[in-house]
Amino acid sequence: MMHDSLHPSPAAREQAPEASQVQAAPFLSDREVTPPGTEMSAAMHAYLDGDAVNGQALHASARELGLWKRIGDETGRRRLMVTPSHISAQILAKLADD
Amino acid sequence: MRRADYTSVVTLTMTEPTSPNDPLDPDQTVIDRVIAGDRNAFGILIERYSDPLYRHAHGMTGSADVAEDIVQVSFIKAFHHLGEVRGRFDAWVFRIVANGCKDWLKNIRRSHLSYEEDDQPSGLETPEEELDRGEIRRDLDGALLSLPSSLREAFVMKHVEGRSYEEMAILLDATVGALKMRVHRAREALQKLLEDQYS
Repeated sequence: MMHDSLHPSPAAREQAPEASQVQAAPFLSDREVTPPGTEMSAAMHAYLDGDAVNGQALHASARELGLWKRIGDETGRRRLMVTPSHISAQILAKLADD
Repeated sequence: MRRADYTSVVTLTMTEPTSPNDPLDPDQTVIDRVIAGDRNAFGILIERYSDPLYRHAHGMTGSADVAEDIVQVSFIKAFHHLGEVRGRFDAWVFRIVANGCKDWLKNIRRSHLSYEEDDQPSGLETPEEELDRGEIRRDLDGALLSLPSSLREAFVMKHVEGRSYEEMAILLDATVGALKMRVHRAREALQKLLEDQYS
């Protein structure tokens, strides 16, 4: 099945800047290797996995904890996202047109 | 509305061993109705599963518009291949959406990702909180998009969709150990990218 492009026109596609010009964060290569110097404590991973964690071990990671609380607040909000209400009707309308 | 350019063929693979469809499976009952000609019954499946699929697509692409498009196209593909479902419908349609996200990520130029405002209620009360949320949202989206897709996928499923490792293993046809490793590596990469601003 072919689909239209996200881009409005072939000309716009040609003019699109390269990723390196627009991305704020450096792109990590497509490998599953942790960059050096980024190890997190095992206690923090366990905490984020919902496992029981020794309070003292977590206290030692207070700096990490602040960051992950911010991220957790944001991911928690995203977890409440729902599909826009018109989507279901649009899908059924397209199926009816087939 | 913008349309996605994910042209590669979605592989409609089964996520569980081949087995006869369970006639008591509520999804299978609906599927049988649709195949028998009741197209509107397909809306039941859309209502049941569109929210987690939308969250997955949004988390993977960082764009509400693209997520809508991927969900729509995926359900239409699912409809046309409904007779091929074996095992769990939700796992099967998840695979279609996940492949749609990966195809889009392969094909799209990153410059066209936009961090548009979504229509979802934030639950925040003050302008300062809204501004603060906007910053972490943009920064988290940017950091997620810099991850390899396998790590981003694992992180989104665990922390945005709230799935267990066991459920992820079924949906992605991977081991729990491998998925824990991906989530841990994603966290470490995200922490490295964001710690200076937010720690």
